[in-house]
Amino acid sequence: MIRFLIYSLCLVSFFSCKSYQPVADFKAKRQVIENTYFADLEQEYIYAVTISAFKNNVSGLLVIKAIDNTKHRILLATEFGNTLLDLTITPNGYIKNYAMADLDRKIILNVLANDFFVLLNKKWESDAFYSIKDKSIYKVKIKNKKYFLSYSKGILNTIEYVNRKKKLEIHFENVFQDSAQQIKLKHYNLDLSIDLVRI
Amino acid sequence: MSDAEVVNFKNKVTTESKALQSLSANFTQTKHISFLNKPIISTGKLYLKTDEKLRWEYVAPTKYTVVFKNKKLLVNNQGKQSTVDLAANKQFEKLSKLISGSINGNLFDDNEFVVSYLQTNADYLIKLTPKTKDLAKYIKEIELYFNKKDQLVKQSKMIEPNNDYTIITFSDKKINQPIHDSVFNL
Repeated sequence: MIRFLIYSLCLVSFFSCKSYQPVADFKAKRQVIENTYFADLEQEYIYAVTISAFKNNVSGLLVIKAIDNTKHRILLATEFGNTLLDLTITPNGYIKNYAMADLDRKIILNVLANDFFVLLNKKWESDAFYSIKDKSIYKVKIKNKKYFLSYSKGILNTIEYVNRKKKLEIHFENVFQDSAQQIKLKHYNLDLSIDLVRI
Repeated sequence: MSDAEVVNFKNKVTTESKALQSLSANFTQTKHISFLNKPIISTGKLYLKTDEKLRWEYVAPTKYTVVFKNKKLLVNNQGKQSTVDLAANKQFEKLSKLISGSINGNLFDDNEFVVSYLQTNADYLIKLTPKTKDLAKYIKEIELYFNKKDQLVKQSKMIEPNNDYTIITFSDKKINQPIHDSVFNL
C-alpha cells in the first residue's frame, strides 16, 4: 500500500474535481487571525485517525501536542501501539523524530507535514477579509499559497487552499470548549483524506 | 534462570499449551510516549481458540476489532468492515504470533529473536530481542511476563527503537471455557 501511495503521489495530476468560486468583495485589511484548536501548551490532543489514500485505509491514533507558539509534535500510531510516524511540525517544514521505514519517503512526509502545518498553525496573517452577518472569510498567504479561513460566529469552520481550484479543505465539526471533536481533511487534487475524531 | 530452569519452564509451557483449547481474557493497553505526561489507555477483549482463531477487540476509547481465522484477517474499524487491512496485517501477524507463540512455546525457538530467560518471585520474564536489522527497525525489545501458576502470559511490554513502549496486561483469564464460533465473526 505504501509503495502504491508513493507512485500515486508522484503521479498527481493537476485536474481537480470541483471548481471553486471565490467570494467577491474582499476588503483589504492587514490583521492577525488565530486557530486556537491546538494552541494550548498544557493539553495533549488525542484523536482516532483514519487516513484514506488511493482506496486504502490506515487507522490508528494521532497524538498532537503544542511545543510552543509555532511548533507542534505529532505522533501517528496503530491501534496496537506501534509508532508509525513522529514529526515536529515547524513553520519552516518538519523535523523527523521517527518514521517507520515504509513511510520514510520525502514525498509522503512533505505532504503530511504540510497538511499538519495548515491544520495546526496558530497565527495567520490576513491581508483581506469578507464578512456578511455572522460569517467571516479571511484571505491569507502561507508559503506563497492562498488559503481562506472561514469563521461562523467567531468559530473556525474551514480552512481551504485554493489555486484557481480548491485543492485542500479542512473542516472542523462539533466544536466544544475550544476543541474540534471531529476534523475532516480532504485533498481535491489527489485521493487523500484524513478523518479525526477526538477521544 | 539456570539451564535446568529454562528447560523446566519450556516443558511447563508446552504441557499447558497442549491442554489448552480456548482462552478468553480482558486486556488493558497503555502506550507511553516520551513527550506526553499521561499514557494512552485502551481496553478490550481477547478470544483465542487453538484451531488458529483469534479475536482481538478494542472496546474503548474506540471500537476496533481484528479477527484472524482461516489465514485471513478481518477488520472492523468503528463499523467499517474490511477483509484485509494491509497496514494492520503486519502488526497483527506479529501480535498473533506473539500470543499463540507464547502459549504454545514456539516463540522461544523463533529465528527472529534472541531469547533471554529471567524470573521474579511471581513470574517468569522472557526478553526477546530482534536478531535482524529489519525487525529491529520496529522493535527494540519485547518482554513477556508469564504467571508461574498457570504458565500463561499475563503482561507484555513492547519497547520501540525510540524507547516509547506499550504494555498490555491481561486479566480475567478463562481457560477452556466454551467459545462459540460466532465470536470469530465480525
